[in-house]
Amino acid sequence: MKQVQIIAFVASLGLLGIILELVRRKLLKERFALMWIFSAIVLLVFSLWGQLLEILAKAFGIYYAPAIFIPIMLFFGVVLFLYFSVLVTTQWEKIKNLAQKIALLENRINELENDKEEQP
Amino acid sequence: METKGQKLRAIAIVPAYNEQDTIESVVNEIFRSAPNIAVAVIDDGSRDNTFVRAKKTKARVLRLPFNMGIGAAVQTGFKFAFANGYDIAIQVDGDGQHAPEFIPQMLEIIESGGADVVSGSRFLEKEGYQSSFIRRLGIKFFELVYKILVRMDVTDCTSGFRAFGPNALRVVAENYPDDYPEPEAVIMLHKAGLRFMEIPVIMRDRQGGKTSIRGFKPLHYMIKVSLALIMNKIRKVER
Repeated sequence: MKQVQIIAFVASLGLLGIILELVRRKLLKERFALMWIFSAIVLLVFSLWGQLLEILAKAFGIYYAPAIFIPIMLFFGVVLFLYFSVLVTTQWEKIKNLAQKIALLENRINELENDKEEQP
Repeated sequence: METKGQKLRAIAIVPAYNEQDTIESVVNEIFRSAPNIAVAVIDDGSRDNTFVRAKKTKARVLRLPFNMGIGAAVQTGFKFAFANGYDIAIQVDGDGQHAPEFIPQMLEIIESGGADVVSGSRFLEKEGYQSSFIRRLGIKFFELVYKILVRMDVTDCTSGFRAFGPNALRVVAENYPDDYPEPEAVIMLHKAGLRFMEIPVIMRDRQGGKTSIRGFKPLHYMIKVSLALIMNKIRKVER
């Protein structure tokens, strides 16, 4: 194993460990953790199987093998950002409905209490 | 939902965000101009005394737990109106820009079946507060956008002085845009098959508060809203 592979392996393992610990502490929901665990495993595979990088680079017609990480990470990053933007939008929609419901309910409580005061 | 002869129940929806200085007079003015309608103030998470001041009036007052923007606030009013069996909802801004004396005319058009939505336009007859030059230029631009997208004549698409009849109220209670609510709603309502009509009104310079379009960057705004309008045009409307 080359030195760089060992470092990459330890780093990926560390990332996986952090993700699992975050899930254990309930700071990361399982359903989001899956995606992160998947990315950590992909990194692990890359660190262990050095040839994979070369094979992929060849398939994409990239001369300098490590450069393949740049488009892969970029693509991954964009998809992730998009996913979170969609998530924020759906959350906003839910929060809005909740807030509106609270406003309606609070008004109802206030009006019911006022009615009671007026006719004891 | 067509009711001929029978009186329709109407409610004015007044969205207010930090409007403690104007809210009471706005509400009282609505009651004076249209004594037969109810008023609901929607406090959009104000940090001042808007809620307390509004409670001093005869209006029904709703308070959002935090600031959510004009679109979500107005929709809260529509939901409230719909849930409480009102037939007509009239949006009147809480900053005193809209002159309530036009409300009876709006109601009459809806009650006689002349339109599903009546919108007050300050540009049909150029009277009263006409807004800044840049903003008027933008509104001219949008006139063109509406002609192209939906072949409608809309002279004042940012007007928040609107009355919604029974059919329209059902739609907007369920589904109301919240990014650029007024311009977007025009297309949404059109796609829902509702009849939109403008009447000339006089708007005043705001008595208090600040514009909801803070740091108004005209070109940026025009691009964003145009995109939103096109999206509304190609989006399916739930009826």
